[in-house]
Amino acid sequence: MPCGLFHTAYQTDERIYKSIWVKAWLVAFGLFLLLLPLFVRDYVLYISNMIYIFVVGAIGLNILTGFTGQISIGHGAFMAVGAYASAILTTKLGLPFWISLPCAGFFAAFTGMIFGIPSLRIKGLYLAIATLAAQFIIEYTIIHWERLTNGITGMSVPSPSLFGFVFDTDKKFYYLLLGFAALAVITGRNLFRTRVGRAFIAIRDRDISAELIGVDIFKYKLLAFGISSFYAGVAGSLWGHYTNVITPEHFTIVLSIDYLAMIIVGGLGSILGTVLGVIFMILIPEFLTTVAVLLKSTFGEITTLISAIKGLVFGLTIVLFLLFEPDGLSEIWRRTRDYWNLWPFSYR
Amino acid sequence: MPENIAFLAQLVLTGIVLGSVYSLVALGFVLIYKSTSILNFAQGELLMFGAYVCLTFIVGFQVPYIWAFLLTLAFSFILGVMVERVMLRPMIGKPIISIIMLTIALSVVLRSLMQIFWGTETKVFPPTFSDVPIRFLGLFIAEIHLFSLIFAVACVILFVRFFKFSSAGLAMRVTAFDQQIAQTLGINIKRIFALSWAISAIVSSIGGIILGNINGINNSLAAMGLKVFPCIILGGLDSVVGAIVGGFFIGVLENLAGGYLDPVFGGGVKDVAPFVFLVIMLMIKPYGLFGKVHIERL
Amino acid sequence: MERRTICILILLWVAAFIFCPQGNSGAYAAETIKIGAVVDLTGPTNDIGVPYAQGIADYFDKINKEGGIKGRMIEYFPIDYGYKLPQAMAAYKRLATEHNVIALIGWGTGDSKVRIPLVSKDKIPQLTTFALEQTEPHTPYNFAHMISYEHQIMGMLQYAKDHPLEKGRKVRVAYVYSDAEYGRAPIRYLKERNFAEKLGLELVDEQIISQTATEAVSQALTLKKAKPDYAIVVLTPKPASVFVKDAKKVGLEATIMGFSFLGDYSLLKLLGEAGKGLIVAAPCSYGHETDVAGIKKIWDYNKKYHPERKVIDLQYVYGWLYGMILEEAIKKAGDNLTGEGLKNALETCKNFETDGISRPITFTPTDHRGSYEFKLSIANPEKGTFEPLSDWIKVEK
Repeated sequence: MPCGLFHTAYQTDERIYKSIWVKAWLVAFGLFLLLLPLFVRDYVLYISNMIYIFVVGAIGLNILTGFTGQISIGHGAFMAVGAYASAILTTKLGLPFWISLPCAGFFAAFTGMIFGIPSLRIKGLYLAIATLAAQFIIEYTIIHWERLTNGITGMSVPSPSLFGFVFDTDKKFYYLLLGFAALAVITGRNLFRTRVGRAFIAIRDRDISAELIGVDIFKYKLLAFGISSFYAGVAGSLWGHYTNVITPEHFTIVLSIDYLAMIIVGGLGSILGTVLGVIFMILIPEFLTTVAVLLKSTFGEITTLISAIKGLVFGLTIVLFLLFEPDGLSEIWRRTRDYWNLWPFSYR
Repeated sequence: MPENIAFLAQLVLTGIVLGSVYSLVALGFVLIYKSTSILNFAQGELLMFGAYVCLTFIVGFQVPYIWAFLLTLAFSFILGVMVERVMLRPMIGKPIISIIMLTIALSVVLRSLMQIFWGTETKVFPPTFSDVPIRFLGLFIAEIHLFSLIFAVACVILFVRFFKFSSAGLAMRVTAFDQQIAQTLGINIKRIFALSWAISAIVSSIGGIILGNINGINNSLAAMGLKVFPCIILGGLDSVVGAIVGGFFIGVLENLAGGYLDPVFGGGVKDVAPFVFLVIMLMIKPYGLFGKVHIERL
Repeated sequence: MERRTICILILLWVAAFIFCPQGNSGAYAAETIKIGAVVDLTGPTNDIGVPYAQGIADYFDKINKEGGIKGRMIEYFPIDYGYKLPQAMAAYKRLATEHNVIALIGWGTGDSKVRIPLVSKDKIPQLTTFALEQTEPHTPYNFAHMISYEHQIMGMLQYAKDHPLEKGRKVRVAYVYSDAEYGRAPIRYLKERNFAEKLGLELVDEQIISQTATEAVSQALTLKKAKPDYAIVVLTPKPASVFVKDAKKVGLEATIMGFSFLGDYSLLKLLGEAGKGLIVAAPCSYGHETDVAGIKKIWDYNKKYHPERKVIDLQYVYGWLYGMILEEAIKKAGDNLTGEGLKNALETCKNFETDGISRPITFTPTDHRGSYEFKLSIANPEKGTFEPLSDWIKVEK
């Protein structure tokens, strides 16, 4: 394996696959994912499907927060908009899933852009608070606009179908979701090779300078909110059609915080980090539940403790990552990969 | 008093009582923001901590009220210092998103720890106030509400005086204004940070003890931490006066919204109205009524 | 530890998770009866969710300590979902596919409702909460042992009608309920049918209290303005205590009638003096009524294995009852110990005696609600318990 990469042209620097080995590993990984359902139990497929859905949503948030530097604590609400939009379009208007999905994305994007308008006037902390308010307001609207959303009872959402082929099992959904997740990753990664992506990064790094060199800050900030919420809306729609039911309880502030945790633990500003972060944050509760079930024989106060311990572990994980590994899992990955690249040598 | 006016007055009165507690908590929040520029999402948990600790002293150790109160303040002080030292000190200079996330994570950690120690049942302070409300000009006010109002206002006045006139308070204000200037004056910045967290914890604890006395303690109290945001946006993130005004205003707004708009919208308006107000505030006057307007210079 | 070792360990765990053919089976023999539960131990309803979960667990523990059912032990998997729907869905997935349970005990109205199509598809009978719609004929795998919330309220409204405070005018009632599904569903049901009006009562107001409310003064004030005689409360103890205390603080004079979940000792402790006159619907016996044979059995078990426990909550008894019903159904199912077999066995339960804790429970293929009767009880704040106020009231469907 190569010890280092020496680029001699911008083109080669921009390339995503830095060497042929990366491509090979990627293909192998892709094959692994494609073949997974054949030899694995349903529950693992369920977990994988959740990971794919959240990858789509989390990439959206990372685009907004990690790449454009706009803090958003309302991502869960935008996911809700997408989920409900898709549910309403399919149940009340009878539209097929393949139309309602992009529509859901656009609805969410539109909502996101509306709540992004304050970002023109306010920055940083104030924007975070505004998105927090957005979370509560959207949640309230969903609960109380009962004629449209059925309120707190929730809506049942039909499984998507294509020419008669209905996606109603974990296995069938697996391939669908794998496709969407892959699409999200590819578009996300390539976004930052385009002009728009570079504008986002410029805004994050120093927005005044960006404005000076001619980047229209307001337009690009709104665009960031829009794109980010589009991803969230798509993820929400997928989630709704997968679990066949959505309620306002799905999309509380806890969801927004979970998303933030995923991208922070994974690594802000890194698509790979997003994927790692999602996997990590979804597997940790699973791991703890396994422990809890193993210890179930000592029921009583212990089980309640385990539940509180889950919360504790969640919080501590984030704290530890922030204190000791602020660049997240993507940084750990990079170091590990370099370690294996150079093994048995220890220096770059 | 004619019934409609009485209804309005009652709502406003209760709003003022609750608003006094919001002011206390908002004060704690602003304190931390002023000196360290950190948005403390764990304010609600600090509040809960005070309530639980005080309860343990009174019920568990049979300590008389006044001593339990002072001991709780001492514990809160220690908690504030510990949090600052362990978690926030290493984060100096890191991007804002990390710090916000850290306080969010901190709130989860504190809440889980409190759940492990104190369980999840609602606990009450031993009854010291009669439940029979006092009648006053045709209005009702519960004894505990009256006491809370007086106590909260007293605390607010005390802290404002501390802030304005004591040397520690002066040091904190200088640090908030410009950390470098403060350092050139010989002020130990780290100690000031720890002090602001400690005082914020104390103030929140007092709020928690008051709230705990009014309606019992359970982990729902932590939601206060989020209610505080509309208060400080109204008042201005870095204004002490603003926090106080904001607290009272939001308390009254909540109750008025609940009393008049709940029947119209079918409930829940009380909880969302402050946030709608927050968004409106952010659009027209983002820095609040009393906050310092930030003008960016190139 | 070297970085290499850590990497390998992590990979091993992930591989084990992905490729292990069977879920965790614990230390039990292969032929165990697997039962799962989705309970709230840490969420907003956990003040009564925890005793409920304990009641179920203790009953199964009792069975196992007595040698199991026909020699087979019960393997019980409770999963805490914190009253959050997504967690409930994940917990259900886990129980159905990892642990392959043959029965599921549920808790929250909202999540149980959502699970109805799933349990029908997976053929796992769900024994759960008490909202009416869930046990209509379209829910073949859903069972509820006690009277529904809707019926309790109907019974309480009848009581209000029979006990007017002032002769010569209609009795005035108001609904005070939670914003969660367990509050909204029954009230919606009753309002759709104009039940209160049809009964000859005047519905003067309704108030919604958030499940996580820390104060409810504005709601209490608005309610007071409407001057109800009776306030029907559909709240769990946490928000109920907030509401009742605030109601007393603003001088509300209505008699408060609560549905079954308000029959909680800690609630009485919280309310103190404010609990005087509180009327609560009781579908089964309270934990302090040790003259009932079934309750005595509960205390016998606890004295032996949990001597530190001094209080048996009403919710504990609910959970215990489900344990009893499942034991009976498992015995009836004989060798056909699958989800479907269990469901059929449950449907043959006729007049199942619960040692006096509740009225006899009957399930039929078209009616999956075990009982339509309840008693009214009144709070005794000094003793901290509830005294009987009426005999068994039967509510027509």
